Amino acid sequence: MVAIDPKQDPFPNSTVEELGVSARDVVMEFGTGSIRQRVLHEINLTLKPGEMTFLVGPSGCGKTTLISILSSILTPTSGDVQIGKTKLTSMGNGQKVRFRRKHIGFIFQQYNLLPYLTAAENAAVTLVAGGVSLAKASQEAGEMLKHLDMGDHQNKFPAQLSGGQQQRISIVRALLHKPDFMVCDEPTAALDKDSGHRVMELLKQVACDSKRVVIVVTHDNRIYPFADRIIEMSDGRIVGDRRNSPDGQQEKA
Amino acid sequence: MLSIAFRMLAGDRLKYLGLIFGVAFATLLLAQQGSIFVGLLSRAANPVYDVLDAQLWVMDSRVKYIEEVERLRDVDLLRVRSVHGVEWAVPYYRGVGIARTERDEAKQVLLLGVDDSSLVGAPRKLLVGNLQDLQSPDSVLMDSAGFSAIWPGEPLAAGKIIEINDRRVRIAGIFEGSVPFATFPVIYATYGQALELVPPTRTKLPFVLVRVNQNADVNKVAQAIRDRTGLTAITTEDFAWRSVLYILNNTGIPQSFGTVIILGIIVGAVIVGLTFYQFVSDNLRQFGVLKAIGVSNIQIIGMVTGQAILIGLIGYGLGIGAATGFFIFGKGVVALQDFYLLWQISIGIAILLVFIMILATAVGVRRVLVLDPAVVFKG
Repeated sequence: MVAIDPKQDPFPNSTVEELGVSARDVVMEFGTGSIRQRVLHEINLTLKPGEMTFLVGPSGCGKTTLISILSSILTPTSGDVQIGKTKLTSMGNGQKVRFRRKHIGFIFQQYNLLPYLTAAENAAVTLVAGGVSLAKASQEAGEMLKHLDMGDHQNKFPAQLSGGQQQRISIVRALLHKPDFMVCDEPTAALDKDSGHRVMELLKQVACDSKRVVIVVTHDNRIYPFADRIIEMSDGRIVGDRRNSPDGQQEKA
Repeated sequence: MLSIAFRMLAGDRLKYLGLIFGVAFATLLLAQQGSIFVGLLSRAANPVYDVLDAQLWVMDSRVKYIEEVERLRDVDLLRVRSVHGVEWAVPYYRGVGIARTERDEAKQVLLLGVDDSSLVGAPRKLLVGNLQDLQSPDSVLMDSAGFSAIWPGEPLAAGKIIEINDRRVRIAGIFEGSVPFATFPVIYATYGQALELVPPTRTKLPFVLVRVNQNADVNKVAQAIRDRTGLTAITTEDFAWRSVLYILNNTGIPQSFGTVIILGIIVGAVIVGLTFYQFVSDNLRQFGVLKAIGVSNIQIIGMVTGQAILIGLIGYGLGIGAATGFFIFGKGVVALQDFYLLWQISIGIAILLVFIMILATAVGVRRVLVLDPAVVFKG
């Protein structure tokens, strides 16, 4: 396994397994002057490790903005975001980039694999960004792909793979560096029902463990059974927060 | 990240080739045109530098460059010889004549006349014959390029007969000379012989070549000649530069080549800049993905710079290679003889390319640096 030098990690003790990911009074506004628009209204939530939390709601309700803030890609207008003990909102841009590289894994709706890299190389990109050579990181990714029964695909390019296969490669990319927090943006939106279920099964199988927080933004109610918790948003506010029991019963969180 | 950057570059084959072609084309254009320009200018100086033994050239004060000749009086040669510090002074004829071959074909030739006894100013590198053959009656030397131009396909050999101004002369030797500005065949004769080959005029002496005494100061002797004779007396180096400057100031050559060179720079910069910008723009989403997953701006700059350096190196190598090939294969063409790729021009183009690639990188990388990585969440 490729080990990332702890000396290069400015946040060695993220303590996410104890404290999870939290947002406190998060407000986000876009624009200036008369066209200033508030898209998130004092959001408060805590995401617990070992749970797969779904963030649902209609288009434009602020889901993507919220996960962008939670993953340090956007900085909120006000409020705090903490991953473990690490307060994202007090970090500089450079620190945020390094934090993302080490502690956050991303899965995107459009997979966003790099078309000129093989499946194994795509899965290795985050390790490469951390300073590991492409060859060494690809070898590591290849091992993980084999472990997930995708070894036959490791030398294929994205254009040679189906949507479901591409999304599974992107799951490996998001997991290879062992992040504390996984952010999944509509992971099944571009997939048919069966492919979507296979992707969610894999995600549930490999991503959810007691040391990791997983949030999934989705419109796809076919995959709701995979959720441990469902947070509903509307017009920039959290309007519902419920637990999803294995028997399909839902209760207030 | 460089390995990923290079894979990204090679992944878009059309733009990759377009970028390399743009750099290579600009390099070839600048190297070829720049070298020909310098080569042409040096041709203006070649006839001066070819006269190896002389340190000073004495001429009428109205002479602006070597191809423009004003005649001196014969007595001026004696006046120059009488100046203190002059070791020797010899006449040097330079004029144009019409040569006719045995097939009655006429060809304009450059006729040079050197001192009958010392042969100062005569060519040193003879391919056929001996320099002393020049002192035989009705004998001349001809340059190899001129020989091939008059008798194409025939082997270089002495013995050919030509007529210059209705006087028959024998080609006693063939020399390899530097190419003059006007690519006429060059014929050397003794000064006395040369005067017989040109129409009679009252004065015929164009130049006096001077060597100064061993301990004398060349510039002081030149000044003494000017003071004593009222003629122009300048060093070989100064006369060569005077000839080059005349070409620069009185022909359209600098403007013509300058325009091509400037266009080469502009077209190269625009093609490379715009294509690189387009390449980066097309890959913006991929850069966004990299930024989102934790690739820093410094790493992004490194990637884009690495891509630019790779394009620059390959394009420059191909362009310089093509220019070198042009001059190597052009050796067989008389019009391209004496032209070669100057290392100074190669270095100048490399520096210019660095600026072009910095510009292209700056234009391209700017879009990536201001890119909001949140773009990757948009479907």
